[in-house]
Amino acid sequence: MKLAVASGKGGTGKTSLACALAQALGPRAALLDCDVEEPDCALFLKPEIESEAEFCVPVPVIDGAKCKGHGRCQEVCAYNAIKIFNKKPFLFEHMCHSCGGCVLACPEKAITETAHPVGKIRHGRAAGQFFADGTMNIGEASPVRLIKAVKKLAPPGTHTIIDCPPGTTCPMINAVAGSDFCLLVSEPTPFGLCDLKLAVETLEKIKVPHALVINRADLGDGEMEAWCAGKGIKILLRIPFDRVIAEAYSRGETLLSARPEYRMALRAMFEAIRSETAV
Amino acid sequence: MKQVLILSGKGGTGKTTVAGAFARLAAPCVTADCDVDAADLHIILAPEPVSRNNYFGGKKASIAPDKCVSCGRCLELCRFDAVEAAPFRIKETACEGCGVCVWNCPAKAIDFREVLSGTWAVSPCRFGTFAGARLEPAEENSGKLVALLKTEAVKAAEAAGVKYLILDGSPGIGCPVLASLGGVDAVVVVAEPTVSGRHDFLRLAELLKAQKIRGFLLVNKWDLNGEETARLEAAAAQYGFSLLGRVPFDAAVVKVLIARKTLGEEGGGEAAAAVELAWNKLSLELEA
Repeated sequence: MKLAVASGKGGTGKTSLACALAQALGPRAALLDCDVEEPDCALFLKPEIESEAEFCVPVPVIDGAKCKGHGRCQEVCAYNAIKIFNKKPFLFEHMCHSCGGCVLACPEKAITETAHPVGKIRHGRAAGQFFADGTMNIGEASPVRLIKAVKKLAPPGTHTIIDCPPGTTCPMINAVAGSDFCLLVSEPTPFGLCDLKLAVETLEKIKVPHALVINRADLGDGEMEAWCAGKGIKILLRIPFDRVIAEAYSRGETLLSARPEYRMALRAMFEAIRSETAV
Repeated sequence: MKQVLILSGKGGTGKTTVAGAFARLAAPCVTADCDVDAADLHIILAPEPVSRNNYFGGKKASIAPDKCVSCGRCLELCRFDAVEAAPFRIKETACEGCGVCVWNCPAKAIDFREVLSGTWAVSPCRFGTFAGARLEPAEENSGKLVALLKTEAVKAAEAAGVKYLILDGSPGIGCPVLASLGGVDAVVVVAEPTVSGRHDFLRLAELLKAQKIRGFLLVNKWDLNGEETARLEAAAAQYGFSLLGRVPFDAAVVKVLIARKTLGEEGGGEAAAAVELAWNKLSLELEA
């Protein structure tokens, strides 16, 4: 089963839950950290890294000698990444989405592509379990390609847990897409609920079944529970605020090392999701 | 007019809570919610309802089934895995609007239309003016919307002649964050004293250094780990950040948010006092 852990709002406990769930399931599950802008799972799972590679995307290179300044590249580029000044093309690389449109459009075949590094991908093992993460280079705009590349590392024959980026736009969608189920993690505050509603709408749109874990369940009000009841969204686990967990987290320790008693609850939650998705 | 942007790197550290408190302390001011992916500041600022403007984030492709000759050229060329085969169809949420399929379809069977990605508005709130947007779920191009919102917020601030523009930012370091950085006078990073908080802070600090933007650190929930707080502050000092102080963990903060108020608006509390102190320090430094 491919299980995504997402939230809408940031800092609700996605990484904590994803890491604890991975630890509770052991080697039959793999963990992919797809929050490539801020990849933090490795800080908690401390994997032994077996491989690290640069990840690149193609960007155009314009051969000034061949270019006749027709401006067809400027015309087809949807991202304003190529502009013609005085019949000469100028490339704004940070605007480029690597679609390859300009290469196809150039009548002089003056545009080729070169590899531009946008981040790195690592994989290894944590307590016998497959682990992979991506880290976007600082200054890059789009994490989407890197997220997709990390997802491709899911080993066959194991369950996969995907730690997703916050938000409800392209990074989150690309991390969640193709999952059998999405576990949402939120906190019962007005901010948590507002973003949960957006996350649920997004998951409905991309047709990924989902349920909720409420973190810091006692620091808030009852509106989230009421909204979920009305929507028919199942709440699979409630984790109360616990200073022992918060302090352990601050030291880079997981939920399970602070409170091992959650192991059985997490396994039971996983089995409940499996029986619901029949994967 | 000074632009103050609140960022964090890691999500959920208290950006919006701090931005709301700063809006009250800087009033009358203009406030803009640049976290358009998960906009929450309107909940506590309660801007007056006004008519909203449409935001078109970009174009999306769609295949006309009656014109499609099923040659598969679109599937072959699309680099975003947005084309589904037989019958050929564009997955709307995967389409990045590049137009490669549109330009290269031999049957000219692919339509390319602007899509409504969200709405935005500038309206009065009890601390001055608020600029906010709502992005439709599963929409993209949030960087473009952030840039638009900032332009409108700057216009409003200049027209009103206020001293401060307070900008609530996004988590992460990607496109919405990059779009919010243009023209800011100070970035206040709200960070928690955790191993992951420090890791994410350092990534953001690198970005600000590269962009030559002045950084200020506010440590939230500092008492969860005093040693990590000291490490975070030391790391920030190395990047030339000014320290704005330490906010203790305070369960009262959640109660204030549930009442849909800004921190400190209805009396004190330890966290409210620390955030007010931070604002006083920041405004003194910016006015110096």
